[in-house]
Amino acid sequence: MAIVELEKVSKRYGDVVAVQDFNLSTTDGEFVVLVGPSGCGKTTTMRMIAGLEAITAGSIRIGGRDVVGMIPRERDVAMVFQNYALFPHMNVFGNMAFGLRLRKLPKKQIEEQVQRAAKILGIESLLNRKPKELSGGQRQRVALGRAIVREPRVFLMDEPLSNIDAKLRVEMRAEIIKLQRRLGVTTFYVTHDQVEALSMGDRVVVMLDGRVQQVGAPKDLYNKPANRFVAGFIGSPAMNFVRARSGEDGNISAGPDFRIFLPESLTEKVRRLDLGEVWVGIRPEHLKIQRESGAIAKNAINGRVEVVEPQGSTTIIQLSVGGDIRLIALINEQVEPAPGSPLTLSVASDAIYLFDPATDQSV
Amino acid sequence: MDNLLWTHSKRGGKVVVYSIAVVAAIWVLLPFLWAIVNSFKTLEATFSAGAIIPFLNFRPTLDSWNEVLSDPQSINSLMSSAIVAAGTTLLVLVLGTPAAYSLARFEFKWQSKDIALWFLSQRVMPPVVVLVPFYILMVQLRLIDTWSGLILLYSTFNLAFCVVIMRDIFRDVSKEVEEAARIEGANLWQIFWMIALPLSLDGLIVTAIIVFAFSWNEALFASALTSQHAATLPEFILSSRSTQGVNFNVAAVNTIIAIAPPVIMSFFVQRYLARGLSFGAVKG
Amino acid sequence: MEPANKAQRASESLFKYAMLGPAVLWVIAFTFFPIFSALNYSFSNYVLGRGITNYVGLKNYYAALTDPGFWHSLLITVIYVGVAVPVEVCLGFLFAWIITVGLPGKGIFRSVLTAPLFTMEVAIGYLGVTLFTSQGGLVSVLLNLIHVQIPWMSTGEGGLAAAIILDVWQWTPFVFLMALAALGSIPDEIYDAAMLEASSHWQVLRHVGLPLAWPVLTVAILLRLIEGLKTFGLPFALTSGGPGTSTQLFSIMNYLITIQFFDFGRGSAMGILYLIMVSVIITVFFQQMRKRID
Repeated sequence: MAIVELEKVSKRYGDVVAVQDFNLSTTDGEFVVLVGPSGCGKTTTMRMIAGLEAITAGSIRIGGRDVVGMIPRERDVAMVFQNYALFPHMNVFGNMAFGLRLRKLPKKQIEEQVQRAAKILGIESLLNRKPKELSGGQRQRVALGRAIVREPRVFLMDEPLSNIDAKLRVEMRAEIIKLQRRLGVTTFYVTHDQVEALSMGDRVVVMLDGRVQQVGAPKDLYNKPANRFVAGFIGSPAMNFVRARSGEDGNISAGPDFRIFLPESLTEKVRRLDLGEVWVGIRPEHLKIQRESGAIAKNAINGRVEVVEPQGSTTIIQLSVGGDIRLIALINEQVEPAPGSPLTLSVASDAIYLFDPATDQSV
Repeated sequence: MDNLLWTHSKRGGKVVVYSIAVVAAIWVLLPFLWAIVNSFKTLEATFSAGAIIPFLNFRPTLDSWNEVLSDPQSINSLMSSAIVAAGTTLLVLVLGTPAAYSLARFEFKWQSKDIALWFLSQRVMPPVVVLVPFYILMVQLRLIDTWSGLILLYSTFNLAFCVVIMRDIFRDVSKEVEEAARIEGANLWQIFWMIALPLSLDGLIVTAIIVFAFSWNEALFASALTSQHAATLPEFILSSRSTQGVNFNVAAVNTIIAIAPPVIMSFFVQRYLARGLSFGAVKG
Repeated sequence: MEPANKAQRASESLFKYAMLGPAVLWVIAFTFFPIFSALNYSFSNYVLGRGITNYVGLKNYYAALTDPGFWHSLLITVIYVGVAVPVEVCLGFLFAWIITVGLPGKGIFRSVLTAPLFTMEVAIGYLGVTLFTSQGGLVSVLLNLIHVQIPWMSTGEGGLAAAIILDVWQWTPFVFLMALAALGSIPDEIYDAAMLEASSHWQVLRHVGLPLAWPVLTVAILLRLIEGLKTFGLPFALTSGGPGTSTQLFSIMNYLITIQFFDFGRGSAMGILYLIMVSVIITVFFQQMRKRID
């Protein structure tokens, strides 16, 4: 159990910058998720913590000790790989005991520790089997077992669930969280799946092109995205973005069918930043169908239904507005508007996000 | 693709394939059978037409077999061949496998592919060119007519096979598995010894077989560098030239003795051979 | 995995050179010396019993290049290799394909077809004499049945042909095994995809098997070429270069000059010349092959 501190960590391969200025300080026993599209630098960052990649600049401290000069063994970290990386020629027991044997621990102690870890993961019956005789889920558990048996200071997990089928994935997710909470070891978890990130992390780090876009608790990332990338990355289906012009008296519009009235606070900011044009962000789940009979809301969007996708208890509707704007709405009931028919949506003023078109930062 | 033959040929097609296979098998077996038959013939019978099936066309005799088996030299040379081949194989594996691993995993000033090719280029050298220098070297090292001399020599020639084959095999070992071992605390040597090597057993067997075969087969240096004590089978066979010319029946017996062990071995190991023999060409 | 600091980089360097070093040093030690020695002899006049008497510059080379026997042996070698290697490659690949597409009893066939690889060249050579001799040799007897008589052992062409046939017999398995490995490494899905389109498995061979196995075949050709140009035991045992000098491959000719006539000077010069020629051929060949792959 230890605090991990990364300060101004960068990684460069020749001219290519893989990670730039990564700063993070964890709390003891925290579950940190690194998420982002492929190539964003999340795996590279984790490998630098592990000691599998050298750091070009910056420093990393584990438990207060600077580990930059240390080989992986000295850092006392454990890693679970995407493809499990189990030793094919050893049985499960051998795989889990490997690190302990290298440290020349007495046989009895190794036996005990492996049994204990196997029990936690429910794999005692598999100890004599070889990896090729195991299913994907079982192999994953063995990989986890190998990681926890050494009681390391930090867990590193590199997309461990990517190769598991969807149904099992949800189960394993819960198990990993339970495991981590029980052992209380500081954990770094890399994934490209934002749903996974939001459901597992104490804190989530969103990365793009080697840079940290935002760090925060899952609900903060959802409610207060720092820029357009985070806003569009977090949340499914993705946030709608519409390019609009700001008019006087605090409204913005993108054509006659799309007019939004901003709350005072936002209007102030728009005026201060002197923005002629803005990106408007609206989450699909915040768009509501404007009923004929109800009171007409202030922010009405008139469009034509293009595609209707029933999702069970919810419905996804693709709406075309004014010819060149497309919106996706997630309606919380079963509806079946006919494709081609007109439909009016509304959105609450406090569910509107604005982004500066020049910097993509949130306003 | 095991069922390609069934799904993709007309009746006639299958017959064609079977016949090719059968013809190939006969083609392969014929010389062996002839050697066996010949070993039971007398010298005149060997050269008279029609003497093919024993007991039918000619009277079989055990003369040649007696002659060879009563000559201690024949057993000696069999043993010599075995010892030299085994020793060479061992030395080659010990020298070549670590080198191959190094080439597979690390970077050098020259491309590792080129270094591997350099090893291979050693085989281009026609042995005849270096026969004399090696002879003199062996004389100076006092290794003429010894097993060690041949082993040293053969190892040099066959190192290339080990390096080229094992380098390719090692490259196929998953890097992730090696990294996992590193995280668990293994140092470079331990990764090689406890992870990479056990996972490459197939390749080691293939290399061992190839080196053994080439060493077993070698005639030129064996005949030049050995005579009595360490003479290997090829030299022994060549020396069955007596003043009357070659005694072919004796040669036939020698052939069988020479061929039998490796051929029997090949039945057990051909499975591994097929798997490991692409010399890196599959990946380039 | 990268070394994280100077100490690690140093220990990694030590490791990689320590692993590679012995093999490299060994090869250097055991090859540089003999080559220099051979070069040395090639420029000298060696007399049996007295050793090197004096240095004669390029005289040996000149003598070799103007020696018709030298060129004749090169011709014989080229014919030998030029016929044997392509045949081995074609047959080996064909056999490998047959096994791959699902011949029943493939295990046995594989074992049987591999066996010749382990035989001794010299033994096969002598065996060849008894096979091809016109008096009672199996081949002659079988050919007689169809009223064909080929003077295998009494003419140069016959002897060369017999040697080539035996060489093919012994070394086809080598190509066979390599091709088998290559064809076996093609993922099943590719075969499946081809099966959907092709009307016979020969088509699959032509469009899938051959192209994908070509890189390996290249290596097989290269290796057979290298070994073939050095071949000695088999032809020597079969014909000793005769009748006369009509089947003297270069290796045989050089062997006779060096070991039987003890003319180290001329023998070494010829050897060096041959080495240069062979290296050139192989390099050119190799590069041609690489181009075709890319």
